[in-house]
Amino acid sequence: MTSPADVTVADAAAPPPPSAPRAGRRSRRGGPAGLSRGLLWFAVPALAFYLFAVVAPTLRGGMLAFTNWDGLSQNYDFIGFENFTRIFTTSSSLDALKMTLVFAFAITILQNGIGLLLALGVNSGLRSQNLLRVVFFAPVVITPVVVAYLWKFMLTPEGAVNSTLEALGLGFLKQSWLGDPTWAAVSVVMVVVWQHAGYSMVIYLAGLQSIPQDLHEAAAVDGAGAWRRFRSVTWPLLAPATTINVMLTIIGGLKMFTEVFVLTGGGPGGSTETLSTLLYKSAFQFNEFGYGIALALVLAAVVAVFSIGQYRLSNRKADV
Amino acid sequence: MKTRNIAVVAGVAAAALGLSACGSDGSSATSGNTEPTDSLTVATTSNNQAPMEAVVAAYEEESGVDVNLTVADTSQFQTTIRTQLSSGTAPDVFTVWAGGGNPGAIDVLQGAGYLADLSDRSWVSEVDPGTAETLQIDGKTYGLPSKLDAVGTIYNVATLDELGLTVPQTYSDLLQYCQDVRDQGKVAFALGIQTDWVTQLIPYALVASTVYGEDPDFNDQLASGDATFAGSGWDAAFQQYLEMNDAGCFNDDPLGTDVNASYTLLNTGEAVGVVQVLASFPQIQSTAPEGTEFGFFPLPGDDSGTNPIPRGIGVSFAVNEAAKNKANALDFVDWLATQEAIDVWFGAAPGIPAIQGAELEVDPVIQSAVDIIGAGDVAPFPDQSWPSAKTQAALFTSVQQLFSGQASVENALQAMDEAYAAG
Amino acid sequence: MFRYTRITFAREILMFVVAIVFVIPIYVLVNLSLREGGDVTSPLVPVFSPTFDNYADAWSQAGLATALLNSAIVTVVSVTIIVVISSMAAYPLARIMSGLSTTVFWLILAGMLIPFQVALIPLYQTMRDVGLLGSLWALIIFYCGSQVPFSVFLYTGFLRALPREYEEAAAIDGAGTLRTFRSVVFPLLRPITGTVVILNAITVWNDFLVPLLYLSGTPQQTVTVALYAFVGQFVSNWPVVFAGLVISIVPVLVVYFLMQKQIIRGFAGGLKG
Repeated sequence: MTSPADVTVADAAAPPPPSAPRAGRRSRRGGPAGLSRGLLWFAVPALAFYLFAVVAPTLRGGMLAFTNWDGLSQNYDFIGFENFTRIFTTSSSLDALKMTLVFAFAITILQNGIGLLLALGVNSGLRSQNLLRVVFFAPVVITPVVVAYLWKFMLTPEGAVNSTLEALGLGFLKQSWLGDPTWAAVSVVMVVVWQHAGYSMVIYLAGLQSIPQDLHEAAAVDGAGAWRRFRSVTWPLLAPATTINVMLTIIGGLKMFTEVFVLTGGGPGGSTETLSTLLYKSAFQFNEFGYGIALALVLAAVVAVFSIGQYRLSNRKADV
Repeated sequence: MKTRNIAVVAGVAAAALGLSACGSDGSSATSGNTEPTDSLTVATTSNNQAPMEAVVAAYEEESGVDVNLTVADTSQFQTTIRTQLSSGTAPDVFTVWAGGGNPGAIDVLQGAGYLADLSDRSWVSEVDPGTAETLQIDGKTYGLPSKLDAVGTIYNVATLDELGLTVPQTYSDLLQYCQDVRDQGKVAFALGIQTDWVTQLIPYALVASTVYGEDPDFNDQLASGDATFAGSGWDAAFQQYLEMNDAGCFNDDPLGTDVNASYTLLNTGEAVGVVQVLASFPQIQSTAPEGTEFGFFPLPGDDSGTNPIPRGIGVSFAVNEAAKNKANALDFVDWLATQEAIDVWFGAAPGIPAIQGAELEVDPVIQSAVDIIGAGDVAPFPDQSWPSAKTQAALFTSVQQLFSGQASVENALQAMDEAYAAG
Repeated sequence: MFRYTRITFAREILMFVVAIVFVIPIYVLVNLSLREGGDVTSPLVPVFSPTFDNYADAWSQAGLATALLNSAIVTVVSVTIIVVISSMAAYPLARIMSGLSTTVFWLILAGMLIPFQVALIPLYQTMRDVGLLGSLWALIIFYCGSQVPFSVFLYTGFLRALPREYEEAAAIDGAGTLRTFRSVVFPLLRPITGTVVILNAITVWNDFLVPLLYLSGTPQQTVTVALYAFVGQFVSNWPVVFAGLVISIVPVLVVYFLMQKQIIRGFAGGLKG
């Protein structure tokens, strides 16, 4: 990445240099910006809430993965790793794991792609941009259960989706959206992306607005075209927003529950079952709470592997 | 990571566990507070909200007790009630399901000892015989049934008249009937098996003949291991289910149609009937054009000419063994069994009272079912004898797979046997 | 800033088409909410004689007035606390990239990995033991803890991308760390604060299972709890259900609309500050 445009960008991106005397004083103070360990006290209130409401109950709950608790009675026995062994030797849970990854992958790609395009679209000086921002964001506001109900209503064989396609002369695209195993999975992804594209858009938008306007102007003066400006100015400076968005969509996609549960219930014939729906059913419906929590821990591990991997990867890229 | 950081993390973990320790003290099911109080907490599912609100209002007026009612959708309700029971914070009176095949069923909840024994209440002897057992464990009663439910065909009388057809009396008639309806551009039955629980209704209606017709005690044989789903009348029922599909009995794409869309098919006249539980009837009615007349007939499962219907206890109520207002809870449940409460309840939602001797003006649909039940042409709800919700879940999945061609009848029966064996 | 050209116009048209596709489901929602019950014409056909009866029904039957107030209280209090504690926590975590700070950062982030079901029952029992069940405070404490990882993650991500020079300048001018944070760092975080506020507000406003569980047995309920009971009761009576849904969505949408202008202006101000 050493094109002339990049050099311009790097120069322009550099913050205004602090005046010389100040710089001198700063160096005497030692550490960068004089930030000391004492500053860590700032994190204490958040940590307190977090430890109480998340860490402590999670440790207690996580322990149940090693038991045969049914979710009801006062007694249970520790059974070691039996639940985990079962997960990795049962086809239903392995299928659910596979489906979870497929969903997360599709959602991450589509939601980020569309979210970014929307953000660029509504950040380019359109007269209607305020209205458009509200329109694209509106689905995010709706409770996921409601979104799922609404789409379920529209995706029936004679529902709004098929009749719209018909009306547009696209009758050949009509599907049994929720009745066919493949299309049911596609429908879930479609609904999730419809609902959350605006979410990604907002974060990209915050990123776009952090890019100083003069950078674009500088690049434009240098004769860079729109695509070039995007590649060499916008995209690199969007890195934090992209990292955040990709990580959030990976996590959201892997942990997605409501959309699948309400839209397909894991069906037809178990074809859209994910780790989340399976763990919910095990823990709260099948009297196998311990097994359900074991599934939850496996899901957490999967989320950890992918999100940390992604985070490391994008940070490394940013450092290059 | 430096040693110091490890120490910090260890400290944090220890603190967290310390916090957790104070939460782990006993929450075992004690026998609740039997002193009279002036309040009562009740929880039910949202499909019973209207009648429940009506009886609660009437009871508040009569007793002066302040009743707090919590309502939630079935799956949320089950999650909540289980969490509350295991934490000792459950409401005084709550909805339970008869038998065992459900996360909120009596066998499941009482397995952990959370329900109060109601055997000494005066209404126990008046519960509809043949279903009363599903509320009992070892002869002790743990629930008050509020209504009976049954599975059969709810149909639009005008549509059937318009086609000039009559209700089929045997299974062979049924296939012909489907053809006749098809010939006139409609379908005999709206089927919405995109909604998982709808998948079970037609099999239940069919096994009333194919299983329980010959083997009334099939459930016991299943429990003792003398029978399995494979090799039983369930095989025939699944075959017939698919045969009906091939005969054009159902709308196109039943797998993509959900329960609400199936009601729409019925209410727009595209389908003549729908096989449903009576509990769904108020909902069907509420979305039908004003003045629509409905009828009810059993789905014939064989050619014997006698067509039994599956019937069982619909919604029931249990008292929390650890209730904070146990005296009120018992009083409220007793009151629900009175004629006065039955009038209020069924005035708000049509249905069949489960307490014998209750007098009620009912809708023709309900009356037809009452007559069939009165004649003794009945079979149980199969799932009420199953050990957990797993078997039912296997049934849901299997039926969808049968329709999508992902599984054979053999696979389906095997999946159900495995789920049953897993307990 | 931007010149409005023919290309911009073409882009505007294109965005409008995309917007229409986005808006169809919402159109169906609103359109059906204005219909008489039992009207079975296609949901796409606009309603000719709109009725607001469904809204009146939904409002009175679901008891939405107090529920809206409860939801508003929980959301405003929770989000305010979340913003304060998360932005504060993010400051050192973004600026000190070593040792303890990194450890704490990853500890907090780990909270995003765990499915909520793991902690559901233990936390419920803790709330029971400290006597907070049935109180709105139980919900507020829960959200303040559970939303920390997400919010800290957003804040640190943006803080790391912000130049340090402003805060350094402030520190040199003799401002204490708290003052530097309040008057320099926090204003610079305004664009992402807007995002944090709106996304947390939506999560809190829309949450369902936790309020159902924690407020069960009291007359208190939140909008979602009131609404779902209502949805369950009126399933397939879509007009009334959809009217209830529209009522519950509007407050959040209005807040977003008002805030997004604020975010843009806020950012410009922040840079100068």
